[in-house]
Amino acid sequence: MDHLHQLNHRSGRSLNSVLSFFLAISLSAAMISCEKVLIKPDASDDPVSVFEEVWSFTEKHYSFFEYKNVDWHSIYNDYKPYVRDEMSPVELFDLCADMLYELKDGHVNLTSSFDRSRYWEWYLDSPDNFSYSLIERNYFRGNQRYVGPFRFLDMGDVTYVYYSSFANPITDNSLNILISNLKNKKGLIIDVRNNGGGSTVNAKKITSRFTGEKRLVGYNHVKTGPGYNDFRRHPVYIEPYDGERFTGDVIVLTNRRSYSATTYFTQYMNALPNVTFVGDTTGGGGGMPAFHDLPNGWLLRVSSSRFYSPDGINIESGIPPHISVDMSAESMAEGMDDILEKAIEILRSGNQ
Amino acid sequence: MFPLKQSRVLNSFLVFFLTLSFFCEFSSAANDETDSRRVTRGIYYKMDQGATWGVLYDGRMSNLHYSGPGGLINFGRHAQRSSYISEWSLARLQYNYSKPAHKNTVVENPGAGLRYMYLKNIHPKKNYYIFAGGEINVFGNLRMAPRLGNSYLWVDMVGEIRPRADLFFNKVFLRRNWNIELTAATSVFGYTMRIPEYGVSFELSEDAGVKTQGFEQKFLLPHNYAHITTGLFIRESFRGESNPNWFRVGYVWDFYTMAGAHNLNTSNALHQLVLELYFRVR
Repeated sequence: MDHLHQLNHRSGRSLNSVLSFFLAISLSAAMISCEKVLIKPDASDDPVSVFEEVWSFTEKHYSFFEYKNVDWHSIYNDYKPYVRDEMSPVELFDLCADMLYELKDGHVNLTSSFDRSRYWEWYLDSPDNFSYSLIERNYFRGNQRYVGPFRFLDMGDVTYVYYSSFANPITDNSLNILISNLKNKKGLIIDVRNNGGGSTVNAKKITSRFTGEKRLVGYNHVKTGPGYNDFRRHPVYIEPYDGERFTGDVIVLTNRRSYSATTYFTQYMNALPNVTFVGDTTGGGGGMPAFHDLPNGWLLRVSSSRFYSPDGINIESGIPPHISVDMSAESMAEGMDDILEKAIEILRSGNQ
Repeated sequence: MFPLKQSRVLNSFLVFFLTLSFFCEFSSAANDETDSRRVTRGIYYKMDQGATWGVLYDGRMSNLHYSGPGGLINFGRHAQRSSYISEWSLARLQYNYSKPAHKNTVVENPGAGLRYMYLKNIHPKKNYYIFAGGEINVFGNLRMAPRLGNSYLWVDMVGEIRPRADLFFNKVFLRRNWNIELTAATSVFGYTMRIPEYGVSFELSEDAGVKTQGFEQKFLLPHNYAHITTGLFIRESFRGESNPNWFRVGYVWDFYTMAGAHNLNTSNALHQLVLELYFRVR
């Protein structure tokens, strides 16, 4: 009997152990399955779902429906009937691209592995008003200096600087070298024509070198919800740089391809009394874009903020110059850049 | 708020885990209680390392979920007596979500946390022990997806209080002593600072590289937040009669989900295979 009792006791213990072990394993398995319920599954990557995602993300995040008088729901009704399950990726891409094109916004893009949709009309129908080749062959002629991202030319009483992209990082040292060159000069010309934008940080860095006091340069309106007017307003100030600065005359050259962060830069500089703009209206692009992954791997980008000048002007459509100048074909044939020449003339005459 | 369906599931899940949290860490020095006490009592410095797999959904960043491998390292001070366990620990995690289906966007996910835990022995029986108490946990979770431009940076910083229970159980299985522990913890109250939940997440600034547009702050309660951690461990002493150090290997499932405005919720699940080393100092 004792033997049988011991055997029963032992087998009972083993059973407990097995049950305990399997209980622990089962609990772990249950936790993993619950995770699948709790984490929202991905949207489908079929054409209808992708189209819906493109439309709805834009609906919730785009910042200029009212400014551009666009009825996004009506556009949905126009395009939705063309979405079919059997569409090829290229057909779907083209359809979505056409729909997004209705926004007429250079910051709205759909990017796939085979194409990127875009709206470039803001400059395609405008004069070019810039030729780097002309600058290089007739003004630089090999005498320019490369300081960080800047190409600058000492023209005696005037300094000319070309900055091709606000995506190119600027160091304090580069700006120190640039500013130190301006002693005893009549002025500085900053050329941001064909500068398609980049980071507004660089725009603020440059601007801070040309002001002696803190200045309100505008208001950034950041999206806070899906409603067309769900925005929070942030004032944007430029603080004077604590170091070498230049508060003499500055002329900024712009054209229609001065876009995005370049338009922001123009707005920042616009708040300074010693700055004049010469050339053409900037391209605009006053909405910081928000990005969104689509279920099929494409990337959607839409403008998702607004920027207003201190007196309430939306910079989305661009900032006009103080002095409007177009480059003429005749001048170009003679190796002259009319916009740059006008800037030099203003600085030398002192009639800014 | 969570969608209704998810909310029901979540509530059931929370009830389940709150119930579960009244048992757990289960270690079995079998019939050798002295061995069990040798490996448990004392003050230890601990070092954990682990290989992990993470699954992330962050509605502010994307409507897709991302997954990928990661690693963790954790340092702490662990004090264990027959009547209580207390522990300080500092954790550092790093994930790199690059699930092939969404290989175009890689999400880097560094995180760090500081935790204090105190558990009281509420079931001091011979064959198993139940320690119950709670922990104060502070962690930060940073997500960076450079491909998403202005929308690339998202941050959650959370402070929370979590009830926790550990069950130790020692049993013989397959002719061997298994010191098994089961742990469970769930959040009941917290506070968070998050990067705003809509639109572009940041603008670059001159000095720090990034400058948020301002954090949003809110209290975390079971209706808008759940953080559940469960673990299954096997504990062993190092070889040698007089060696007071021990280690444990285990699997930890750590999951948190936070409701955001406009249904832009965040969920993060971490599956961790860990090796924890305990070095006795007293």
